[in-house]
Amino acid sequence: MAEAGPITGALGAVRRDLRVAALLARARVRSELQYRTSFGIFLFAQVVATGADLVAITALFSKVDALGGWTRPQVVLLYGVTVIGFALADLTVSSVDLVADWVRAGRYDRLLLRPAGPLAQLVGHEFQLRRVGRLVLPAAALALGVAAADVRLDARVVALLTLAVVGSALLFAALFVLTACLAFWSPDAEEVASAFTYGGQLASQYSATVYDTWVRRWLFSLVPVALASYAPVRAVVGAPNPLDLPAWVAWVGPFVAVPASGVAALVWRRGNRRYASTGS
Amino acid sequence: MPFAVERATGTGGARTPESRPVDGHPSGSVPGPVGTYLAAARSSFRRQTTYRVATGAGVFTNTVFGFVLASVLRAVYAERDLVGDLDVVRALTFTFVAQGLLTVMGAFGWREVAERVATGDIAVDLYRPVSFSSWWAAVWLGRAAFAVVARGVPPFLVGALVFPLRLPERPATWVWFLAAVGVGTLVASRFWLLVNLAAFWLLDVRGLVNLAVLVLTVASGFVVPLTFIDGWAGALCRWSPFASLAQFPVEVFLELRPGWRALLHALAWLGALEAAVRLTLHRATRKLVVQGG
Repeated sequence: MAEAGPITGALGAVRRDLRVAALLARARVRSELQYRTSFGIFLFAQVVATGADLVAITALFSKVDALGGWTRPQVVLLYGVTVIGFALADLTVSSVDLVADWVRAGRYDRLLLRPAGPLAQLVGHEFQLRRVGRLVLPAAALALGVAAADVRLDARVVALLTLAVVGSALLFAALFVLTACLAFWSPDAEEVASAFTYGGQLASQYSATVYDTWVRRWLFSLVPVALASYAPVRAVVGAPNPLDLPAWVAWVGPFVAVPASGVAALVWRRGNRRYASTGS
Repeated sequence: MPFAVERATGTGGARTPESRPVDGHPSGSVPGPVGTYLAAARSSFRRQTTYRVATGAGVFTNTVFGFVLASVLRAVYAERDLVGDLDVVRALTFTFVAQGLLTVMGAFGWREVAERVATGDIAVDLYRPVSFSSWWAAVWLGRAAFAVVARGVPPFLVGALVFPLRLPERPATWVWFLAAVGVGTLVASRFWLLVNLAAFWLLDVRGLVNLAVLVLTVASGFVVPLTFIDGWAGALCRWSPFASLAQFPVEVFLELRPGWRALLHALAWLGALEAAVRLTLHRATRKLVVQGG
């Protein structure tokens, strides 16, 4: 076989990893579907599990008409966008948080011995089709929000919403991987990851104007979920702009997922290289 | 598993304990059931103290969530001064106290018994000469006692640095509050035990646990204070056992609810759930086949 250049080699590795992940995932799905009733119950539980946040939004808006200057349909739309993104990341990549478990049990070494990336193997091995259920409620919320917020679905709006969803999904995926890397340095601290992933998801359901300066700065820089969801959705629904965000931020904001993924990939590589097994 | 229990002989105190030297028991006699439960609780507590990093991580996450939820609530109070009997300071205090109670009430789920059913280890628990349900209550209380201090206090302290929080004005409130939390966590332990006992029929209770977490967190007031939920939904939550997990104890802390009323509600549900646990356990163990080992 001809020598592959560095870029072709890297692309080839990615393609191979994707194939491995897909294979493992397909096997998991087959086993998951073996028990139809059980799967049905699980699926229902997943659909309903995402409901708690909507309960909160409904309850809060039963008392006030606006939160941070946003009306209920606008917040529901924002919720829909950001939680679809989160659900997509959750469906595909969130199993990476099992690194801590695998490292503690000494099973992680097995993955490193195989001719495929450990991330792809972990993600494929622990794939759960039932998590698809988590897309149902936020998708409904997105549709409802668009209708109730009087948003006209022209090309610009569709493009912004798509960017927001895809950007949020990629960003949360990067967050999942990045925070999972903590396991290489301190496997017991895995709950810290939830503060950034689930905490970020919760925080991005509400307009960034709800938070005071400190928290807001974090939501735009350290855990930049507001760039991927608040900025584009604000432009879509036409909510007030007290933060004086220029118009281009709505379009460019979601692309923060790209450098975020880069950082996640780098830290993942670093963590793996540093990893020294305890042996088992 | 806290197996650091002195060997207990006899059946629940029906016989007097024998007085002979036993390993690790200087007084020279075997403890009765109460001593066993205390030992189980103590072991459970001590086991939690070894997870220092995990506890720290948990506190960090609780604090972050507290900040997010408190910010959202503060935005609500930018629009109006009072919601029910909660003003902004009480609402913010509610958030941080409730965050501290999450682990105490097992709000993230608890599958210890269900896992033991799945592996067959449950046979060991059923063979013990002490009440199954009381044993797990003791283990739970040990864990909860640690959580009250380690997970309950720090997020509140950090929150108090940034948000205006309210401490009880009357010293008696602290006693009522701790009592309400104590009985509340027992109610939670019965609820989770009931959910786990479903494993005798369902084998895999993870879906059920997910649903239970959702119901519990919403109906307890963890997601949003029940003060914000009106109508039949709010009434249903307030009549449920879950209200005594967060809403009522925190209302006692905020001096909005008399302690005896909260305790009455919690004790009533404790009785009902304990009866349900015993009944379910009886049905489950009537015909039991343990596979593997």
